[in-house]
Amino acid sequence: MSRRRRTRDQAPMPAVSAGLLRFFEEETPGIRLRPEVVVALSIGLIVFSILLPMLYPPV
Amino acid sequence: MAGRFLKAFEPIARFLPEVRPPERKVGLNEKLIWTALALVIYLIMGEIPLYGIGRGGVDPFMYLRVIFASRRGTLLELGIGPIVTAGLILQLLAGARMIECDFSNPEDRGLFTTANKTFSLIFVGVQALAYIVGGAYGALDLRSSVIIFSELFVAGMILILLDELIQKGWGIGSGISLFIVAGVAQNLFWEIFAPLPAGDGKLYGFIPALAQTLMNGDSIISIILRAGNLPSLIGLIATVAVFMIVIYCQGVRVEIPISAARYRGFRGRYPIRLLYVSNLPVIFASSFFANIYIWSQVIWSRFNRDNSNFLLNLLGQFTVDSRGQMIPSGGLVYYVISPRSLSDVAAHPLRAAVYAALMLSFCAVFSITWLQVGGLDPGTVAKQLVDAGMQIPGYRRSRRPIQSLLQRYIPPVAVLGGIIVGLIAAMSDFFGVYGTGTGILLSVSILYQYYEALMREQISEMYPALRSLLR
Repeated sequence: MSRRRRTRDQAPMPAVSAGLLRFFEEETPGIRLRPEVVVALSIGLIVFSILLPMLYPPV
Repeated sequence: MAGRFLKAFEPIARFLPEVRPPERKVGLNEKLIWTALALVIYLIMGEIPLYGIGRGGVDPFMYLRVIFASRRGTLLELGIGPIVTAGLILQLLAGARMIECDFSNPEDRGLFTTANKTFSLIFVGVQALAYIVGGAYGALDLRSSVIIFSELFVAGMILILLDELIQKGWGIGSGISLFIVAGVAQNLFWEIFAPLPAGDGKLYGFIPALAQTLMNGDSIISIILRAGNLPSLIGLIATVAVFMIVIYCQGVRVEIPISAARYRGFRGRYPIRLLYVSNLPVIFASSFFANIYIWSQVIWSRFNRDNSNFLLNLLGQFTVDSRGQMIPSGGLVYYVISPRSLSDVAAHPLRAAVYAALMLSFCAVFSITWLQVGGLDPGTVAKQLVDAGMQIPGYRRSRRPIQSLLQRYIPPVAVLGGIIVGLIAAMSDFFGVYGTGTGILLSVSILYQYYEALMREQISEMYPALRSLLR
């Protein structure tokens, strides 16, 4: 009961415009990557895509 | 409690890569750095061609690409299309109560995010396949197909992660918005300044073409209206006009006075903006049209190459031009792609009329739908206002009277907003607005949100005590 009251009191103001609903503040049990890793991954893909046609030219 | 649909995603959650949320408060400067880094990566990816694919060629899909921040023949071929499509579909399902999801329950929200990501990945895969199988790159051997598929898939995953990185608090705003604005800005810049030869003997960009016209002493008419949808003076004027109209519309709103029931003296306003349901109708319409285009292309090239099947002809007929490009020539797909200049409109008035009618009605109907789906309908807003301890002066502090007051404003404003947004999008296409009307519409509202977010960040950095108030 007491928990329910608290959430009611803290209810946020309604949104003033629409957007895609996305929730990233929640804990999800995925494979955690540091942002540096994401950047490294992107650089990896970019380098791969540049080098591949040079090393193995498409027919 | 999560429904059966969301529960199915529980085991998948553990295998999905995700960005680690920051453990401390990330400073404004660091946020700016991460945001800029994501942006630079996005821009570079848009310059890297896919394996064995040359850039260039006419792309009838080009104008739909703007809102998906995608670039033809590059790692960004799919852009954020899959992410947006997945988000829209899941939210529609949840809004229509076809999947059970209690958005006030953290566990459900987590599962919803997982479902969203899974769907995005599935769409990345499916759309990459559709492009390859549908022959968007011409005939490919197995090796190239596999390499291109992997490139598109990894690129899609990276975009999902970059978006998450920004949204999880490492950056400012959302990756999706950032990429859209970057794409539109690039497009605008290109249309205005590109110094490349174009079909009418002048340079492509408006400014170089103008300079050329003046120096050669050509007739000024040749720059006012240019053949082949090239950036013209009319397009430039229309672009400026659309910018001003959109900025004006952004500010139009009906304000409902509210006051706090508990703290006397607190007075505020709940704004019902003209663009209340915002740009989602037009994003939805465009992504729906884009999907019609992709799938009709796949179906046509597999089953209906000679335009002889009556039923499939209703969906889409294409002709193949000298460069091997598929050009829509009939059926539904012909009407969901807009004519792109006034001369085009004059040449195909029926197509223009049907396109505008489709766009307007779609936006109007979808605005109403989105009130429910996005939890913006009078009933929900009234409940939220009451829960947040607000009341409307002169009205009883309960849900019913507030709801009936809101009922008078919200639905008409939403429909009107939807129609205006649809009208701007369709008309801009006809006038050949640079960066497309939808693109400008999206950019202006995104930049506006970014401005607000930056202000909030700055204030909360200077006055940490105010942070809780600003949330």
